[in-house]
Amino acid sequence: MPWLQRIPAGPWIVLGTLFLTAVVYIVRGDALFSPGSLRDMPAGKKTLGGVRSHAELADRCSACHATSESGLTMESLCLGCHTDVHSQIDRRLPLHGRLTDAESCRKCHTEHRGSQATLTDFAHFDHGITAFPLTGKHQLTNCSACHKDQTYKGTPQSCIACHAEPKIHQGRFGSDCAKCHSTMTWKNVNLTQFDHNLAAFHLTGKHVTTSCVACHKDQVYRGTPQSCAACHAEPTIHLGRFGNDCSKCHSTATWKNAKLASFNHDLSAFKLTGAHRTTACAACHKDQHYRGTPQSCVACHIEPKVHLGRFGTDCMKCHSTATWKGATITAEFHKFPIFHGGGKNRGECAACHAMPNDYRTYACYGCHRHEPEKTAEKHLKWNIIELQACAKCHPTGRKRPDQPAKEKARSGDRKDFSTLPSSDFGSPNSYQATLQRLLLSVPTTDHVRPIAGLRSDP
Amino acid sequence: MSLSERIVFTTGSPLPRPSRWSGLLNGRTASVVVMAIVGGGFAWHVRQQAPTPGGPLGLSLGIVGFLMMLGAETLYTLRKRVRGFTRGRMSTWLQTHIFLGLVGAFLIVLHGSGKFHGLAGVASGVMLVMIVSGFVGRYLYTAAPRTLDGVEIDARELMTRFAQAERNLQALGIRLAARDVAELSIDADLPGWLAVLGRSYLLWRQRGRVRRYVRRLPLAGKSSGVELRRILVDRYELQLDIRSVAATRQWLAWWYVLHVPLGWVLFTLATIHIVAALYYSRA
Repeated sequence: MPWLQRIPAGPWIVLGTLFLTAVVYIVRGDALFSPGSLRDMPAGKKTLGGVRSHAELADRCSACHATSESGLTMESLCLGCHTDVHSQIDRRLPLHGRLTDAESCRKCHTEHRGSQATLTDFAHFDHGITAFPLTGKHQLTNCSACHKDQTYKGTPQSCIACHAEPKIHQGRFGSDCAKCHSTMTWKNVNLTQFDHNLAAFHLTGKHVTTSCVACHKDQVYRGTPQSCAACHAEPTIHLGRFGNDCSKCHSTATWKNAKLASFNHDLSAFKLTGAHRTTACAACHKDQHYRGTPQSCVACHIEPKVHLGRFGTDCMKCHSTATWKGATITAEFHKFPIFHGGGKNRGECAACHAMPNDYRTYACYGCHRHEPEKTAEKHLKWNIIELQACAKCHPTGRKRPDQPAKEKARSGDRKDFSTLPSSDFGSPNSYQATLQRLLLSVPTTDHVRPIAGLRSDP
Repeated sequence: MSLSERIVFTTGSPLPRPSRWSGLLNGRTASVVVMAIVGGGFAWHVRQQAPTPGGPLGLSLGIVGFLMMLGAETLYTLRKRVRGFTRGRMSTWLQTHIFLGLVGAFLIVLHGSGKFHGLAGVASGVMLVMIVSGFVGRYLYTAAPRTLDGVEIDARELMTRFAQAERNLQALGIRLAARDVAELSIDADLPGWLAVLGRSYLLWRQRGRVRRYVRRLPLAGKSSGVELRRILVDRYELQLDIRSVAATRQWLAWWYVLHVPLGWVLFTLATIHIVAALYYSRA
């Protein structure tokens, strides 16, 4: 169609296009040039510049865009309506008053992005100018994580507004997270200000100055065991007898001063019986020294003088832990047969020791055939005039010293002297004294020729 | 017949034409490379800051894009219409036209930041229609037989070349039987528009037919077979050119009616847009 190509279509098309554009402009007004819908979400009932939303300005470009002949700027037009922002800038108040380029509205606020679109672009917003500067992980956090529903004003700044206290805290540590945690991570905890007494395990004594990592290995705090044995091995001195409940005897102040009020001494190798039960600990454990305490009697009890060193240190042979007063004596120490003679008084102390509480003296006379006259008569022919110390010559109660005892006490027979009065102990007339003298008496062979004037017994 | 003698037969071949896609590929390849670079940079910038048409980058893209589109429209037209302006080959100017048109349109789209609203949106829509129209025009342009200088060949010249091809065939001693003529020629009722749009398919199908036909002939050597195949395919292509030349020219005429006015509309709207933007541009 050559004829078609010969028509100078260009000018007509240009004119037609201009005409159509003019028609549309008359109908739509400035909206013809709008590059996109304006936001149509009123912030409230309040009007700014006579409108409730930017959408009402859609046919008036010059409401926001300063024309070349107006002498205004776009920013001045923005602040002309948004007087609150203008006031912030003038008074240097947050938020806009803190911005270095507060009057470059378009740096953050962009329109024509749709009726529902947000006006604010925070890509380059410096959160540091706010009362809540972003640090650590907060710098990477999505804005909407804190600013719900794109609400920025009045966003709470406390940690718990966004972060619920974890279960591991068990509601003990309060909401001032920054005391221990940083915004870098929840894991690496700064415990310099941490009050451990808020935890289930209160720090006392030496624990107060103990390094955290001594108990919390690898900075793991969750599930740290609270038993003593989890950190402290039972010492060898315990011999595995005292269990793991260290706090029964020990405090966190020191291991040394053990509190033994509730200590069961029977768990030790030395069970407390008798008078030991009521004896003060320090009586045996000098200076609260418990390790290596000797268990022998003589470690604490010196052998009394009355023993004259004769009876050894095996106190338990005669004494019990109940009392020193009563002693159980055996033939080992009472050379004269205890069960000598017969009759109803057999074995009774008073049968021989007529003087009460005086066991140093005895009398063979008055009993069956030991008559003083007959005895003197019999012994006279032997020229024996000393007739008071019978046991000297008759240690077994028999006629001749070499004769065995007629009623010999069996090995292990014991005579319980626990009924002896306590005043006997240590007195010159006590049984012990008597016994001592008997043991120190001259040998039986000396009786054949007694030395004149010699008193065998007091 | 020696090989040197056969060279004479090339006068019966169709006119040397650029590959249907070669010019477009060249222009398109350059366009794709530039668009990839610019698009990558733009995507990086978008990650930093939301793009706005009035921002420094958006404004720059708009200005450069407009100038490229203006260049694409005017330079090629001037080369075609101004008699004294003969610098460069038409095919080169066409590729320049394609490059400037594609890249310019791409920059304009980036300038709009995905917005197609108002007058600028209408202009962008017109621009995109122009781009599609340009692709169609390029196809129609290459469908029309031309000399190496881009001058269209008329049907008479094509008939002369076809007759020469027939003579070349006879010189080889080939006399086509009636049934062979039907197999090796275009359908008598092939419409012109199908000869244009289906050209690639028809040529591909015919090469197969020619191969099978030559295989049936008792030829002396392999070279004779190759030569015969080329002559037969060229003959078929000349037939297609003769059949499609009228339709191609008609379509090109209609295409001009669409494409050129679209250009006027586009630049009128773009100018209004620029004037309005300048009017309200006081920051």
